[in-house]
Order: sequence, then structure tokens, then C-alpha cells
Amino acid sequence: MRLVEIHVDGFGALRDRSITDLPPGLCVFHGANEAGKSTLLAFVRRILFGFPDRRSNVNHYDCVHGGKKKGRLVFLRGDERVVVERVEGARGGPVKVVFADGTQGGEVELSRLLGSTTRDVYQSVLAFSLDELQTFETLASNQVADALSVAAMGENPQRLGQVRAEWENELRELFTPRAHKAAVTEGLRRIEDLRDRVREMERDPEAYARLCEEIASLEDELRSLESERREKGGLLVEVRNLIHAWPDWHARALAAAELAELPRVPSFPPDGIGRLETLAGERRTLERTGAQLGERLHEVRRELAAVEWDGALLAEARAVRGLERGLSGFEEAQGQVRSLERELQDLERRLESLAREIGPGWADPERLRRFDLSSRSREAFRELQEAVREGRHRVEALQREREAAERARAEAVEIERQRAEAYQEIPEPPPGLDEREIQAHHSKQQHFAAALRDLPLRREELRRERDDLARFLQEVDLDWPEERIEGLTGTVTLREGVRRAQDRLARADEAVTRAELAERQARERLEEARVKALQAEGRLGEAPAPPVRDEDELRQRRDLVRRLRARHGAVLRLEAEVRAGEQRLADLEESLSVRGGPDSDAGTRLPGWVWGAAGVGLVAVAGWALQSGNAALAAALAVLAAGGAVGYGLVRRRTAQVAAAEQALRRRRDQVRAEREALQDRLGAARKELADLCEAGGIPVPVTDEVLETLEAELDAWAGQLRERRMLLRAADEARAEQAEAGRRLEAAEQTRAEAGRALEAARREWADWLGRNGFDPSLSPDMAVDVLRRLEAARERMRSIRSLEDRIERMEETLRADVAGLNALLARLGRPPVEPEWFVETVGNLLAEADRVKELVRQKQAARERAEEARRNRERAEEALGQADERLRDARQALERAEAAWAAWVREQGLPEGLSVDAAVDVLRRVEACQEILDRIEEGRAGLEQRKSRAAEFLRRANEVLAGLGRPPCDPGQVPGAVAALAQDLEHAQRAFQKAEGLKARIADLEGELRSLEGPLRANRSEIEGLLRKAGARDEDEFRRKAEVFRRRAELEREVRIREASLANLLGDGALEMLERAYRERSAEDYRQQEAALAQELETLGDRISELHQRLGAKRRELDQLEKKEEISALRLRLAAETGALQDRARQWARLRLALFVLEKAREKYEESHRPEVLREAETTFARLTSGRYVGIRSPLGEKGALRVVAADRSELTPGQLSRGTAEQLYLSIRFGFVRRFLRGTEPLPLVFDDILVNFDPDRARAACEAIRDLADEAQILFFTCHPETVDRFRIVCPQLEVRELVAS
Amino acid sequence: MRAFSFVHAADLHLDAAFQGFAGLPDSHGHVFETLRRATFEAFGNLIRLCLDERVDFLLVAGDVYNAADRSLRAQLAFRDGMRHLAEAGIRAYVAHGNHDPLDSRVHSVRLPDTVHVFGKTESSAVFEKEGEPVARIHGASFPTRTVGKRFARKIQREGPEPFQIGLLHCTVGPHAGHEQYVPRTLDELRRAGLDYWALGHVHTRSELSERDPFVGYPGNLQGLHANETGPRGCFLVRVDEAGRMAPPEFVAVDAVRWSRRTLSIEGLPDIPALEQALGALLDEEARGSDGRPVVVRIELSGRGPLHGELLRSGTAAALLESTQRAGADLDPFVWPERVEVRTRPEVDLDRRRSGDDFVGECLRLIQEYRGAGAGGREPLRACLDELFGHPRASRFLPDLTDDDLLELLDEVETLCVDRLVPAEEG
Repeated sequence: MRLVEIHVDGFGALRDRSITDLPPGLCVFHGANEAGKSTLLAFVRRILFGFPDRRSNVNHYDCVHGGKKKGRLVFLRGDERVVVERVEGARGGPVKVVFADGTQGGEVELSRLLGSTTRDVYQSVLAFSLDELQTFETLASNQVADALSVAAMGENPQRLGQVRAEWENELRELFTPRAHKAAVTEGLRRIEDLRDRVREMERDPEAYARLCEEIASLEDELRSLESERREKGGLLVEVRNLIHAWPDWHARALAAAELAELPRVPSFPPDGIGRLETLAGERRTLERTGAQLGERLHEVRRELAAVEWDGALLAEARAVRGLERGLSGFEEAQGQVRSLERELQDLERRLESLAREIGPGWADPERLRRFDLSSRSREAFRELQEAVREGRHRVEALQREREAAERARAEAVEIERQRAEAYQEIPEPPPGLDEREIQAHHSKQQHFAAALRDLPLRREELRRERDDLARFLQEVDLDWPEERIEGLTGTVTLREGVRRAQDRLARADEAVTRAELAERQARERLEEARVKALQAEGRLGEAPAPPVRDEDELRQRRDLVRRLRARHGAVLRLEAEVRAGEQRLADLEESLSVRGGPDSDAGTRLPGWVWGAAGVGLVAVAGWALQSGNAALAAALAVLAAGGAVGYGLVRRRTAQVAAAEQALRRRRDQVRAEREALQDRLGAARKELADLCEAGGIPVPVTDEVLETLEAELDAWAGQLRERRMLLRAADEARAEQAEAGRRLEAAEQTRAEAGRALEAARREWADWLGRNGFDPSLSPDMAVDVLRRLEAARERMRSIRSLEDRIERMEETLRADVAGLNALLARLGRPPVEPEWFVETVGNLLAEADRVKELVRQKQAARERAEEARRNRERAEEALGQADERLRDARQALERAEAAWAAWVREQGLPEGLSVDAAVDVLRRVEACQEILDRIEEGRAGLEQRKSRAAEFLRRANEVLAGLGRPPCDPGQVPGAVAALAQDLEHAQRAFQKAEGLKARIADLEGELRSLEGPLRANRSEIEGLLRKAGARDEDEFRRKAEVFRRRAELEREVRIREASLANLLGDGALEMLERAYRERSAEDYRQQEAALAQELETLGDRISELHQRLGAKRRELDQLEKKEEISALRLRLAAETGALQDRARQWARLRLALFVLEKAREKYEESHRPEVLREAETTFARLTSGRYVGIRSPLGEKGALRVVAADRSELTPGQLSRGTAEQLYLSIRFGFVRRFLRGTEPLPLVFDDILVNFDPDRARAACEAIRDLADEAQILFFTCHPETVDRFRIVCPQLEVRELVAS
Repeated sequence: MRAFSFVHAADLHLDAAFQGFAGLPDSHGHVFETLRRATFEAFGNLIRLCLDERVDFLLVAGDVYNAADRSLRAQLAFRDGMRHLAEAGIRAYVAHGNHDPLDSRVHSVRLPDTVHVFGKTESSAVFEKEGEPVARIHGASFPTRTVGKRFARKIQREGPEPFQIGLLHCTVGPHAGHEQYVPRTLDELRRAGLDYWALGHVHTRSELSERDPFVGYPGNLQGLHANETGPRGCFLVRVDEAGRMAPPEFVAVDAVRWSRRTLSIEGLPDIPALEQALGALLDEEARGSDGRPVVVRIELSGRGPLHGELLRSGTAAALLESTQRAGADLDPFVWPERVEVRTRPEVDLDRRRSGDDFVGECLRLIQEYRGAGAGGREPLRACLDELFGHPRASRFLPDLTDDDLLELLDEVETLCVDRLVPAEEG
């Protein structure tokens, strides 16, 4: 395979560099340092084998001009032109291989192209530099050594190296003793992990047995403890019954004893004490309230009498308040007068001091006022000041500038002199050769040589291409004539048409598939929706119909029940009120009957004449007794009559009182009765309303709470049924809607499917039309059409290639003729004889060398002249600069003088001292400005002082007027605040006293009204208390209370006895009293309590123990249950078995590879032993030739892998280390040549590239090496880079037809 | 006498894991779960058979569990099965074998009283049907994993029961792949005068004597690895009123069936064609497994263009994976546990061996090792010692036999030829 073209898009310093038309055999590239020789070597290597990883420590040849590294190599493989392109990128960078038929490939195709040549082999043996030649180790890497040694064995070297590397990799991935991530090691780790887990679980059976035993033991213990607890529990119950019975027993006995001792009370008004206490409380409250009101009235009157006030002062209240408000203004004015006076004194002192600093005569305020400090005056001052300062600075700077210009002129004069001398020293160049013309011939030289050599090859190539095309057209088997194929245009359009058709057909097909799927899904959804609808309707039909139609009816029913409940509540309340009214009526009736009953005083009811007759009778009897001498009887009767008269008087009075109370009671009874009747009417109305509601709602009477609750529960149930029915209805509606929607979707899907089918048909028709239009068979599929198009394009490309080749050959012939004619014309002009085409290159080279020398002389002379001229121009520029500096300095000095004169005039004009500097004038101005400010402030202060003094005098006058009106003495300004304050205080006091007297009068009127309103209720209360005492037969409230206490106590005790006996019977059953009698006779309650405590303690201990046992048992049973349910071990064991199986598989795989490598190594040793000398024989022939027979052999001792011995002509042996540097390089080169020859045998040769490898060779050996290289070039293409012209000459000598190309740095 | 029937089973190996898998069907949960539960399912099938056939008793001739596995789950499953039988009034007679001897700690679960477990010395139990003794069962359990020569030698007919059975875990005659426990001869068993010898230990079903007495192994209930292919189950035995025994009927109860198949690559042009052939093979297995899931080991053999492709790294694994995916989706599933590539290159080895090139050198060397005898292959063994003698790994790897080495040499030869001979030449 021959390299014909190198194109570098970007690589190191090279950019857009092309080397074309590389010849077969040897081609020498000559170029100076940095011309790009080593870069080209690296470029060729990297295009073929990839760019190295960024991390590798090599020269990466990054593009100097930026951008990616990129380029291509063009090979001829046989007659086929193959382009290999590569761009920098990951994993060596993507590569593209383009074959002559237009097909493309990547790494795989490149690998096929390179055959057995690996990167290492290429770099070490086929394309290397001097450095690499000197390093024999590059030959020693395993892969290269394998490749080389096996190359010698006649096998594919890449295969063995690759196979061994692959096997070693696989082996490492499977297992190495120290690799933690190898498959076997990881498998082992998993197995051991699984085995540990399995082992842990294998303890389960023991744990299970142990748990079973523990559970049985716990159950035994539990049974025993529970039996004991039952026994002791029974005893505890008995003891506790006795203990519990004791309080009842004991209380009953005490109550019975007390009851026996209490007197009997036949009757007592219900809640008598409560009612008495209420009435008495009411009475006390009324009496206490009356007393409190009386006391309060007395106090208020006394307080009113003590209140006094000043009327005159009240009349002057407004004037006094006015003075009070104005007082603060008066005091403020006084204070301001004092502070202003102090401030004015300070300002006058400061003015005087500043004026003295300005100078004598400046203390006069008028002079100060006259001084002009306006902004215009200030601006004039600043301008004068700046003009003076700037003038001074400028003069100084220009003086320094002039000195520098002076120095520059002196230097320029000196340089001018030196360069003029240098120019004179260079001799004039001889007239003669036209270098450009020679250069033009030289530039053609390479092309000329290449074309001369390439022309026959091209002709041969053209013939082959034509033959190929003929064969290809036969293969394509198309009816198209050649002209039509060659004229084939618009393939992109055709391809695009095919691609569009492909897309359209695929899309249409996909649309049909999609539509069919959608239709199927829609049909399924419709079926699902139909089933759902049927189910929903079925559920609706099955659901029970609620007794009410809808929510409204339910709401009405709820309202009815709510109203029923409200009415029912009202009826109940009214019934209770009626009952209460009846009770109260009964009480009142009872009170009235008591008053009219046998307990009432009978005397009070006898008519007055009875009492009169009795008195007359008594008087008559007494008169008769007196007459009859029975004085004692008469006296007694008289006393009796007198007593009767007195008693009658008393009784009359009492009767009147009783009658009044009775009257009040009767009124209250009537009132209560009327209320009761009204309540009964309301109750009747409510009951009727309730009955009406029940009738309206069909509800049974009577209405009770239970009935209402039942109704409400029914309503809730109906509401639930209604809700459920509503949901079912909604679900049914939704299902029907869903069914309808699914139906619509199905229709749409069917339509879509039909449309998609139509679209597919249309696309197919359109494709057939397109094929017909473009002259293709209408039955072609798009894929087939692509293939046909591709073939047509390939054929067209081949035709174009042939045309291009024909053109090229013609151009080459014409160029050759023109080049020779041009050179001969030049020679004729120089008076030299013409040359034949074969001497073209040499003649041009000689002319060029001659022209180079003349050109160099001209260039030097021209440069010296330019430098002298430049020095002269520099000197003139320096002189000009000096003159300009002088002029600028003079102008500056004049400007400064003008500015200083203007300043002096201004000083005089302002009346300032003569000779005042611009810096000192700034201070003077600042002081005058301060003085003027102080003068302004003094005038302002004086005006304020006068204003405040008049305000104070006005206030003092008003104050004295008010004091005089109240008859008080006048005051001076110092007393004003005291006098005004005293007036304000007196006025406040008089106003408060007046308001208080008015309030007290209103209070007295209120209290008197309240006292009068208490009298009526007090009277009614007393009457009611008396009625209550009578009902209990008590004379007074104390007796009433005693009787009440006895009555309550008896009832309590009787109830106590009953309750206790019932409780005991409940606790112990019948015969409890007898049993307790016996029990408490034997032991005391305390004994039983002690026994209970002991039993309870024992039972608690037992309970705790049982509870603990239950917990432990539960835990154990749970543990047992978990163990029984545990299935993980099966899975783990299965995994373990699988992992072990996998491990064994991997081990077997490893063993196979390990044995294979073992066999490979052993076979290799044997094979090398028998075949290696062939390589060495090849090498030693070359070595003997290079060293002119000084060394005659190379030996590789058995058992010393890679070791070499060199055999000299005298048969002595040397190691490579004992050889000189040059000889060692010749040895290594010989070995490489040996390897190359063996390696190339039977494999596609790649171009060999050598980079200046003969540098260290002496002339003889270098010439011999050139010959060896020339001979090797018969077997493979060789590109030899050198920067040494003598190396080129040597090659020219041994190979006159050698093509030498110049490399020029870009 | 009253007619009766019984089931003779052996080698239950409950909760024993399947062996030899090259990978697990983790991504196919139903497959994994079925394989994990296979021994339990098979045992469940046995119990259902007893219940469905209303047999009178069940005989278990050893190796109920793998004592080494120490699986509680296995014991509980056995107890539950026995409980089901007890509830149906079916008794069980159990003699333990070398995998679950009496001294192993696998007997932590209490069995129902209807289960008779034979002790370490010979004894017998009488089975009565409706109060009438109809059968006497003689038997003994392994006291330890290994027993002496005198173990269970005294079993002889005794008592008036018309049908007498010997229940024993032992080896009768040579059986490859099984350790020789309690080696007995058929004559010895015949001399005992019994009617039926219910044996266990040998996993492959075999009937050593059809009558007078019947001597047989029912095999294990569930195949556990690729060498235990075909149906696995138990004997169902019926004895009529006259004491005549019908020929025992083998009933398959296995839950998953093992199978081995060979597929030639001859004529298969590419991997899709091979996958298609494998798919057909799986379908065939699914149809022929009586509705059971199948675990199949497939060996690819023959010479063909696919040989090189199959040897390429990753191809066999990818093929296995795709085949497993296809098999897992079948109903019942067919799980290819591994696909072994034993194909040969299309190369004339003898011709290559005689060549003067490097390949010839390799082949000659391999041939030398083949003919060198075991001693001459020691260098090969030594170079494998790195892994096979590795202290951690060797615990889980089988010892390399000389046969293994020879097999490996064959594989190496194939490998060398495949990789060193150019494809166009091959």
C-alpha cells in the first residue's frame, strides 16, 4: 500500500499543508530545522493509529494556530485509491476510511487496511526517528517482540499478540490473587457472605427446640400460679365482704339507737326551714337597707352644710385664666432679653479681634463693609492667582524638556556617523542572475521530477480505471447508457425524493398501525363503558327506594319533627309550671285555712255583743256578790271583767292585724289561681297544637321523647338512603355518558383508521409515480431505490475520476515541455548551453545556489543603506525638536511676566499692602469675609432685644389691672408669676366647692325617695313569716327551728337504717344480719382488715408473676411464630448454590485460559528456538554491509531472551554496550531491517518513514546505509526526512533518480 | 384380611437447594420462587396423593431432610404434612438415612403421634386396619451419618401379619454417584422373607426385584440438579384381601422437572437462527413436561459457522440471557440454567497439527500433553494451582481430576485453533 498524498489540516505548527504525488520507492524530504519533518512523521503515525490520550506523557502536537488536529492520508492499494481521515477526539479520534467506490468505513476498515501492523510495530520498526533508533528498548516491548518474532515465524503477528493480550486481560478479569475486583474474588466474597448468613440461620432449629422447651415450662408454671390465685381470690372476696359490710352494720346500729331516743314530730311544713330562712333573710335585707339609707341621708345633709365658696373670684374667672395662659410667654421674653444682651457683647469682641489681625485701620465697620467680596471679585482674584502659579510651573517644565532634546541630538549625530561607515564597508554585488526567474524554475522542480516519474504510472492507472469501470457497469446491470450515468445530476434531489418517500411511507404505515391500535382500544373502552353502565343501572335497580321522594320532602318531615320536639318541650314546660302553680295554690289555701281553723283565736271571731253581755253579766254578778257581802267574789269578778275588757281590746287589735294579713294572702291566692288558669289555657292550646302536628304528620300519639328519637333516627336513615340513591343515579348517568363518549371515540378512531389507510395508498401511488418519472422500475422499494442510486453515483464518480485522470496526464505532459523550454531560455540569456529534461533539476539547483549567494549580498547592502538613512532621519528629527523646545521656553517666560504685573495692579486696587503674595492674599480675604458676617449678626441681635422688652411690659400691665379688680395689691415684674399662680389656685378651689354643693342636694332627694319605697315590702314579709310559724305550731322562730331539726333528724335516721339494711342484704344476701352478728362476734373489723391486706399482697405478687409469665410466654410464642414463618434460608441457600455454580464456571473458564496461555508460551519458546535465526540472518547481512565487513554475524544466545552478541570479522564477540554509538545504531538499524523484511513477507506493506537516522554514521557507512535503504525501497515505499544536505547528496549518488523534496517552514 | 394401600417415598431432601446453576433468575421472580419452593411443592404433592388415594399409610425411606442444611422450615413442613395425614387417619412410618441420622440436630420439631420413627436398631411396627393387623413394617434409622456393617442386618419376617415390609435407607448393588451406605445384596434381602423392601438412598427410580419380594427405589421426590432429569416421585402400592400386591405404580410428584438437551449448530447460519432453534427447543420442553416448569441444561454441539461467534467473549452469556428471557415467559416456564458451548471449529485438526507453523506447534504440544499420562500433565496442574489451590477459593471448587484436565485440554485446543487460525482459513 503506497502513500500518495498527505494533507495536514492542522497539526503542531503545520496548517493546511499538502504533500501530493508521493512517488513509490524512496523519497527524501530535505528541510531545515522546524520545517516540520518530525511533525510529519508524528502526523502519519497518528492518522493511522490515533491521537494519544491527553494524559499520556508525549508531545501532543497541539495546533499552534488553534483548532482541532485533523488531516488525511491518501493511499493507493493496488489501483484503488483509499483515503484515511482522522480528527482529534476520544479514543484516538474518529477515523473515516473512504474507498474508491465511495463507500466509507471506520476503525474496522482501517484495521483491515493496516493488516498485521500494530501501533507499536509501526512506531518501532516501520516509522521511527533517530531517538527511537538509539533506544533498542522500543524493540523489546512484548507486543513488538511478539509481532516481530512471530512475523519471522510466518504467522500473523498481530493475531498472536492480540490473542495473548486478550487472554491475559480475560484472565485478570477472572482472577489474580491480589485483584480485589476480579470476578472470582468478588464471587468468593458473595459466597462467603451468603454462607455466613446461612450459617446464622442454621441455628434456627436449636433455637426452635429451646423455645418449645421454654414455652412448655412457662405454661406449667403459669397453670400452677393461676390455680393458687383463684383459691386466694375466693378467700379475699369473703373477707372483703365482711370488711365492706362493717360500715353499714355499724352505721345501722348507731342510727337505730339514736332514733329510739328522739321525740316524735307529727307534721312539719315541707321545706319549712328553707322558706323561713328565705323570708327572714328578705326581712333582714329590707331592714338593713332602710337603716343604711337613713344613715347616708344624714351624712349628706351634714356635708352640704359644710361647703363654702368665693363668688367674686368666680365672676373674674376668665381674666384669671387669661393671665395664667400668658404667664409662660412673659417669662420666656424676660429670659431671651438677658441672653441676647450677652450674645451681642461676645460678637463685638470677636469683630474687634479679627479687624486687628487684618491690619491697622481695619476696625472701622464702614471700611470693612466697603471691601468687595462679590463672586466677580473672587473670580478675578482666583484667575490672577492661577495665572501666576501656572506660568511658573510651565517655565520649569520647558527648561527640563530643552535639556533632554539637547542630549538626543548629540546621540543621533553619533549614530549617523557609525552607520555611514558600516555601509561603506560592504562591497557592491556583481550584476547578473535574475533570482526570481530561477526561483520560479526551482518551484517547478519538484513537480517536474514527480511528474516525470509519475507519468507512466498515471497512464497505467488510467488503463486500470477504465477496465474497472467496465466491469462495474456490468455488475450494476442497469439499462442506463454511460452518457446518462455520467450526466446524472441531482442525486441529492433524488436521494431526498427517496428519503421523503421512505419517510412518507413509513409515517403512513405507522399511522395505519396507530389508528388500528387506537380503534381497538376505543372498542375495548366502549365495551368497558357499556359493562360499567349496565353494572351502575343494576346497582340502581337493586338499591331500596327511600320512603321519601326527595330532599324537600325529607326537609319538610324534618321540620315537622323539629316542630313536634319544640311543641313537646313547651307542653312539658307548661305542665311543670301548672304543677308548680297548683302546689303554690295549695300552700296558700292551707295558710288561709290555718287562719280560719281551730287553731285560730276563737275569741276574735265572737261578735262584740257577746263580749258586752258577758261583761254586763259579770258586773251584775259582781254587784250581786258585793250586795251579798261576798266582796272577794265581787273583787274577783271585777278583776275578771277588767281583764276581759283589756283582753277584748287586745284581741280586737290582733284581729285587725290578722284580717289584713289574711286579705293579702287571699289576694295572692287569687292571683296564683288566675295564673294557673292562664297556664292551663296555654297548656291546652299547646297540647292541641301538638295533636294537630301529629295528625298532620301521621305520627301516633302520645308523643314522647322515645317516639321523637325514633322519628329522628328514621329521618337519618332516609337521608342516607336518599344520598346513596343520588350517588347511584349520578354513577349511572356518568357511566351512560362515558359509554356515549366511548362510542363517539370509536367512530372517530374508525374514521381515522380509514383516513390512514387512504393516506398509505396515496403514498404508495405517489412513490410509484415518482419512480416512473425518474426512469426507475416502479416496483422498486425505497430501500432498493437507495441501493440503485448509490450504485449509479459510484459509477458516475468512477467516470469522473477517469476524466480527471486523463486531464491530469495531459496537463503533466504539457507542464514538462513548458518547464524545459523556460529553463533553456534562461540559460541562453546567461550565455550557457541548453539542457535535457533529465538535467533540469540539477541545473535549477546550481542556478539557485548561485542566485542565493548574490541575493544575500544584495540584501546585506540594501539593509546597511536603509539603516544609514534611518540614522540620518533620526538626527534631523532631534535637531528640529531642540529648536521647538527653545521657542516654547521663551513664550512661557513672557506669559509669566504678564501675570505677575496684573497681580500687583489688583493688590493696589483693593488697598492691600504692596508686595502681598498670591498665597498671603487668600488669608486676608478670608478674615474680611468673617468680619462682615459678624457685623450682620450684631445688627440682627439688637432688633430682637427691643421686641422682647415691649412684650413683657404689656403683660405686667394686664396683671395689675386684674389684681386691683379683686382688691388685691399690685405687683412688680419679679412678683408677677407668684401673684398669677395664687389667683389661679383660688379660682380652682371656688369652682370645685360650688359643684360639690349642687351634687349633694340631688343626692338627698334620691335617698328620701328610696326610703319611702321600702316600707310596703317589709310589711308583706312579716305577715308571711307569721303564717309559716303557725303552720309548724311554733311560737317563735327558734322553736320553729328546733322542731324542724328534730323532724329532719328522725327522717334521716330512718332512711339511714333502711339504706344500710338494704346494702347489707345486697352485699351478703338474705340472713346477712345474722351472719354479720356471728362474724363480728368472733373477730373485729380490724382483724379482717389485716387479713385482707395480707391476702391482697399475696394476690398482687401472684398477679405480677402471672403477668410476667404471660409476657414472656407471648414473646416466646411470637419468636416461635417468626421462626416458623422464616423462609429466607431457602432463598439464601438457592443463591449460595447459584453463586457456587457461577464461581465454578468462572474457575473453569480461568483454567481454560490459563492452560491456553501456558500452551501458547511453551509453543512460542519452542518455535522461537527453531525459527528466530532467520531474522538474525537477515539482520547480519545488512550489518556486515553497513560496517563494510567489519562485523560478520549477530547471535542471540539460547536462554538469554532478548540478548545479542555481535561477531566481528576476527570472530570475536561483543555485546551492543561495547560498540561505539554509531556502530550500535547500525546494529539496531540492521536488526530493524531484518525484522522489516520478515514482517513485510506476506503482509500488505505500509510506507516506512525514517527521520534523520544517519546522523551518527561516518560517510562510508552512511553511504552504505543509503544503499541499504534504497534496496529496501524496492520492497516498500520509504519516506526519508533529513535536515542535512550531505545526506541528500549521498542519496543522490547512490540513487540518481531519487526524488528529493524541499520542506519549507510555514 | 382387609385390603390396604400405601405410598412408598424416599429422599425427600426438603429445602435442599438446586445445584449447579450458573446464575439466578432474579429478574424473573416467579421462576426464582418456584425453584426455591420446589422440594416443598413436591412434598405437598406427595401428601395430596396420600389424601386423594385414601391410602392407609406412608413409608418414608430416609433423607427427609438434609441435616447439613439444618433447615427448620423443612422440619416444620414435614410436621405439617404429617399433621394433614394424621387428620385424615393416615399413619406414617419413617426411617432416617445418612442425610438426617438420629443424632443430627434436625429433630427439634415434634411430630404427631401417628408417625412412627424407627430407632437406631431393627424394630417393627404393626399396622392394624379396623382392628385387624394387616401389615408389619420392619425398619431402622441411621443413628449417625455412617453406620457399621451390622446395621439393620437382623430384619427378618416375624409375627402373623400377612404382609411384611422392610423400610431401609441403603445401597443394593452398585450405584454410580451414590456413596455405598449399608451395602446389601439382593439375595440378602430376599432371605429376610419379607413381601416388600421399601428402600431409599438412590435418587434414580429403580425396581431391583418385581416380586417375592418387591425391592425398589422410588428415587427422590424432586430432581435437584442437571443429572437428575425426568419425572421424580413415589410408588403407590395396593394389597388386596388375599394379601396379593398389585405391581407398584410410580406416580410423579415433582414440582419442577430437570432436562438436558443437545442442539447442534450445524447448518445454523447466524445467532438469530440459533435463537430460533433454541426457542423451538424450549417450546418442546414445555409441551413435554406434564404441565410442570422445566429447568433445562442445553449443550451446543457440532461444527458450524457459529462456532467462532459463540466463543467470542460475551456471546454465550448474551445467548443464555435471551434464551432465559424467552423461557421465563412460557407457561409453564422453561428455565435454561446454562447453555454449554461444546462446538468444534471447522478446521481439519490433523492437517493443522502436521503444519510447520505456530498453530501446528501449539496443537502438537497439546497432543503431547494428552498422551503424557497423569504424571506428564503435572505442569498443567501446577499452573492451575494458583486458583484451585487458593486457600479461599479451593473450598468452593471441586478437585481437578485427570479427566477434567483432559477435557480442559480439548477446550484449549478449540480455543487456540479458533483464535490463531485466520477466519478465512478456518
